[in-house]
Amino acid sequence: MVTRRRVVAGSIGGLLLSGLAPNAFGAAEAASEPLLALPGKRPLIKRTFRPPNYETPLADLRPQITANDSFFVRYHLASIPEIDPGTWRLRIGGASAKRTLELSLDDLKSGFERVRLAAINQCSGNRRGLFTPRAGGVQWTYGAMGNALWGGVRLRDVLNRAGVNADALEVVLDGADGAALPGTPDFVKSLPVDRALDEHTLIAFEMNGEPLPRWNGAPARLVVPGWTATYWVKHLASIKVEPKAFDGFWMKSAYRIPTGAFPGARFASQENAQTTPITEILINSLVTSHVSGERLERRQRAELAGWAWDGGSGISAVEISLDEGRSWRPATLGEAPSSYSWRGFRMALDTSKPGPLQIAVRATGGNGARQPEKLTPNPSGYHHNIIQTLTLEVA
Amino acid sequence: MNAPLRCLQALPAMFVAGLAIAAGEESIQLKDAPGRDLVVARCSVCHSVDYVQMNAPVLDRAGWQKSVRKMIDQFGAPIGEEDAQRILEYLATHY
Repeated sequence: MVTRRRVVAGSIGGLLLSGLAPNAFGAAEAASEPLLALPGKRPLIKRTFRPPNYETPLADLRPQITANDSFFVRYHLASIPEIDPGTWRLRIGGASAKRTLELSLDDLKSGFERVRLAAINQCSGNRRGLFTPRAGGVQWTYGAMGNALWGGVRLRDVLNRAGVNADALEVVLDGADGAALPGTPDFVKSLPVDRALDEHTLIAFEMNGEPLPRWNGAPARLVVPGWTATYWVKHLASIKVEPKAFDGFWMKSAYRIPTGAFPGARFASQENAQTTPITEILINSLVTSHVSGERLERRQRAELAGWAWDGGSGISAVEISLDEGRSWRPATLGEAPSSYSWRGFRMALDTSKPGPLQIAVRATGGNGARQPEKLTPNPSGYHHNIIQTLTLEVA
Repeated sequence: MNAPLRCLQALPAMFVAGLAIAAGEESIQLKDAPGRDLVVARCSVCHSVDYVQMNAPVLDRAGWQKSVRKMIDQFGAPIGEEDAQRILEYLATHY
């Protein structure tokens, strides 16, 4: 475990709330950001009331496991059911399934091997509010993400119970959330069949040892470790194995990036010459011990700390520069409960001399990918993973 | 009867009956100007109007135009040309 120490008194959440935190990243944090609580949640940064979009404050991202009641909430459609777990049923079928199944929560729990895995759940648009040029959509800063211990069963085991035909191309996932108007596209996503059959892709009914919270997908949601949260369909209702590419709005028109612009797994059956679906989480890191503009007391012990993560290759290094990127020193790494989880880093700061400390942090993944210096512009503001810079003042 | 109410009445009753605003949402105050009531009435069918405030620093007139068209063309908002124009005018002028 990484040990981290609060160096500067005061809540980062409070700083965000009062808009006092100066930050090199952009204007989004300067705006007033009310902390409001949904039923069952702690106060979070409210982005929109309906559908509910609530972001986890930086202070709540300090623990290695993000608490259920501070985990971010993200919906496209405003009709969010309260499902009775006793009567809930999951339907498995589709044109490339050998048979159809209807499973209760008890069937899932007792009929398949139970699996637990720590994994980052990160919205594709996390940090969209920090984009330059600005991108339309929910103006998230750092907290449309969290790290949780997901408990459930392998999607693979459930699909194999139904039987997967050789012509299967995609697995189509539908949740019970819906829209106010019948003309609004239902939130339905698909995965390449090989990703659906990956041993780490889960149907989860537990989060950090508790039943899934309502706002995070109760009674069961998909967990696709290493892929962005758009695929982690909440309130699962049906899963279909299909021989053709699913053509719904949320695959064909939304959650797409320019083809070839980013690294990451290809989703071949959904790709065209212009755009392709966002897939894997890219290498990234976040300082949680401090925010830019904070004051450090001269000659007091101070330690920079935070998290680094990627799409599952694991973190091999986190480096810190104090000279605007001319030289880099390795930070001390902590343990990661899985390669899909984030890994802690820390480094002592020299507070012997007064003046500004210009800090930059970059992470490198087990696959060799390193955080870039510059954003890759894309219309939806996805994949914000540039090297974080912050200035602390020793006085 | 003002225009927004006529618009709401024009919607099938089930949509209006199904319109459940979220706790706290009533606190959102959009700028008082012609078109506001129409924006609140039509946009609130599907979402809280803090979406308007949130996207104000991001969208210019062309961006708002695209957004209004997306709601109608992709998300099925039953809004006619005339109202769409009034909604755009309010958003582009005040946000």
